[in-house]
Amino acid sequence: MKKFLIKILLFFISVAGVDILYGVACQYMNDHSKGGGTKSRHYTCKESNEEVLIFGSSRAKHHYVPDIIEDSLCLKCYNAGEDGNGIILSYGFLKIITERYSPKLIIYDVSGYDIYEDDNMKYLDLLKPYYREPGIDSIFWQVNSRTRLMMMSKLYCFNTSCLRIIGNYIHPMTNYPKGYYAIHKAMDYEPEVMVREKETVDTLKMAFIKNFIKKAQNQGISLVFCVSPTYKVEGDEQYYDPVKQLCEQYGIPLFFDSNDPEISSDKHYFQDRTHMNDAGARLYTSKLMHQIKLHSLL
Amino acid sequence: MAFNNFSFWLIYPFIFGIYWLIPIRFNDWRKAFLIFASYLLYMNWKPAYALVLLGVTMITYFGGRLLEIQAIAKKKKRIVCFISFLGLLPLLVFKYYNFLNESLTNGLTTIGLSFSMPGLNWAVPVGISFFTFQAVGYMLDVYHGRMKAETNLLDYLLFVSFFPQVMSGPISKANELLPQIKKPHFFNYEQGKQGLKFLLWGMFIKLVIADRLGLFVDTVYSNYIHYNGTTCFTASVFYSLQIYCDFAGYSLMAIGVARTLGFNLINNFRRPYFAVSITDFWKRWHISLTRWLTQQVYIPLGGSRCSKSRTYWNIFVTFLVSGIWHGANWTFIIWGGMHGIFQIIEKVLGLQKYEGNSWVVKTIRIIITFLLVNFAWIFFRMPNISSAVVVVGKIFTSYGAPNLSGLEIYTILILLVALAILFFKDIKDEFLPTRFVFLQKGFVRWSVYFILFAMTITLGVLDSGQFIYVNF
Repeated sequence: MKKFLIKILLFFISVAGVDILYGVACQYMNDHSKGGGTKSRHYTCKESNEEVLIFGSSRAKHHYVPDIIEDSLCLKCYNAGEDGNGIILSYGFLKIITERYSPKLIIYDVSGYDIYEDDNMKYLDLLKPYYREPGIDSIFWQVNSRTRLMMMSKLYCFNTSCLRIIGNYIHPMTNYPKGYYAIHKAMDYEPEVMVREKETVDTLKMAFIKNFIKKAQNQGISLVFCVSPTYKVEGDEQYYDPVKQLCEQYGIPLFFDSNDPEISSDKHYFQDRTHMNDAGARLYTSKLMHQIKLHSLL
Repeated sequence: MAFNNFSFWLIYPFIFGIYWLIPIRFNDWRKAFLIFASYLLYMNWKPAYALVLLGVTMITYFGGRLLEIQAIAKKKKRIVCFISFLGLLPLLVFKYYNFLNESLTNGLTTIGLSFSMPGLNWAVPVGISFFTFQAVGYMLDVYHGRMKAETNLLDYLLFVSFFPQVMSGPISKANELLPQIKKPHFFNYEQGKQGLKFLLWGMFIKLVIADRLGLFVDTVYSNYIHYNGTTCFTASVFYSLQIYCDFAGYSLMAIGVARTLGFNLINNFRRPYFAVSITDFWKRWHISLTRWLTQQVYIPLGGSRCSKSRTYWNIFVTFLVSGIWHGANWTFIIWGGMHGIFQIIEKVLGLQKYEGNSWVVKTIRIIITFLLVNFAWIFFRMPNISSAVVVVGKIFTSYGAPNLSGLEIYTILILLVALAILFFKDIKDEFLPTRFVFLQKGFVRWSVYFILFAMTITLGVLDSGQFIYVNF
């Protein structure tokens, strides 16, 4: 037994050593990334200084064209949307950003990732390299108290993302100008109508949305929630009800364009049912800017 | 609690430590502790369902005792039927009630009758098919005189609830596990080392390969309508690899954890995708279930000691039962039926074995067997028959380059490296067991452990990924 335990102990001591070295290397490459998602996230957190920021999921990333926003509002804009993410990551980003400065306007594209229950651990993935930033650890603990222990390991901290970080450090294959990721493909099939099913509202996510709103209000940031257009999706009105109620409660404008008659009826503006292509994004962004100006949000 | 759950790895060192710290002369305390730990881990999911586990244990325990004291064969038969029904009742209710209800309602509707019973909105207790089969299997063994009824309730409680295997097997035979439970265990370094090796390899193939392949498979199969046949075929091959790595991974972890506690569980997999026929495949895949079905279904039906047509019927029925065991859905029944039919065809053509030395023939047979198994997995994976038929139709009619956009380049890289490691190990174990002796050298061995561990932590899909077979 003694021999067995000693060998296990030695094994884990060497793992701990590697863990430390690996953590230092990954953190360095993350902070000095040359492109790709790693660079754009690092820019969002540590370098951004734009007056207008876009938050949300892939729908935010693909639907809001910073150039058009800049031309319309005469303010610099950066798109901080992240594929497959929602309020948990966005709230973390906002906390990190507001440690440095307060943007003038935040446009938040709402999606199901912000409202409904699913595996919340996945939303922490992209936030892991920023765990040590002020106030970020508490987000992890609220999602899962065991992350206090898990995040002690850098091997875990950079789990899965290490190859992406290395790739983006050595030879990035993608770059997102001003954070925007244009899709240049139009839908070449006719999808069936998707009816939104009833899902369970995630109380933790709702709490994070409230925190996000309060944080923005406390920092004097104008905040607007948007639901960008979809194609052949029914039931969005009820689907976004929980956010609508919060917007009413906190006096936040919500631009609900899920069924915009001009865009939502034309599949050439879409790559799939929930993602517009560049043409759709440009048209939608222009229309949204018009609405924002009409409401004198700035 | 599953082995890929972080909490398990916080608790397990305590289980290991306390178990071995209890002096050997207090062996009953050791067992009691293992029962306590097993129930505690089981209750982590839904505490109330531990009562189902306890209920099945008690029914079969007392059933076994009752069978032993009954001398009259006719009465014995009645008892075994009744107790088996009672033992299987939770499984029937939790797993099959809704399926039977819906099938019956749909069947009656098609002939113009309207009849409906309320559906049950209950979750199925984790591992119910596994522990029920293990417990009922014990009772049938007692009935057939293959073993004596267990008199020690403590031993029997541990036999049914032993935490490494309660959720997803392997399904142990009572005459294998109960003697081990009775015997006091001394820590054995070699056994402990072997256990950790199994554990590490199981973790690696589950977290690095199965869960990563699963990301692509889920993407394609949940939107199969938008993908061409080549992509659907790629997803089907990935699923074949995923389910192997997932289930074999779980079994290896179960065997590994059990070994560190001094128990030897049956090895559930023997490189199934190197099978040269479907018959051979079932000697390598989920071995403990095949063994259970052979002993409790196939042989009582007459096995192969009867006419040819009757043997074929027995094979078909056995595999239908296997299909139903996997899930309450027509897709599983079709999957089981397909495996039954494949084996009957093999038997008719005399293809169930290959004892020649030709590598070409062997390779061709391995590929054909894999493709047949792969084809059947499509029915196993899809939520209903119509979607499975669409996927199969696409594979044969819609060609084009595979769409791998659901996979990041880094994911493809990870998968290539991990699959290369898996293939190397399986090829070595299957065809070249005496080669690559240098891998046994201390430094190389430890380097391999270290690399596998680091790859699991850095490249594995942590934080999520339930085991596929836990649902059964």
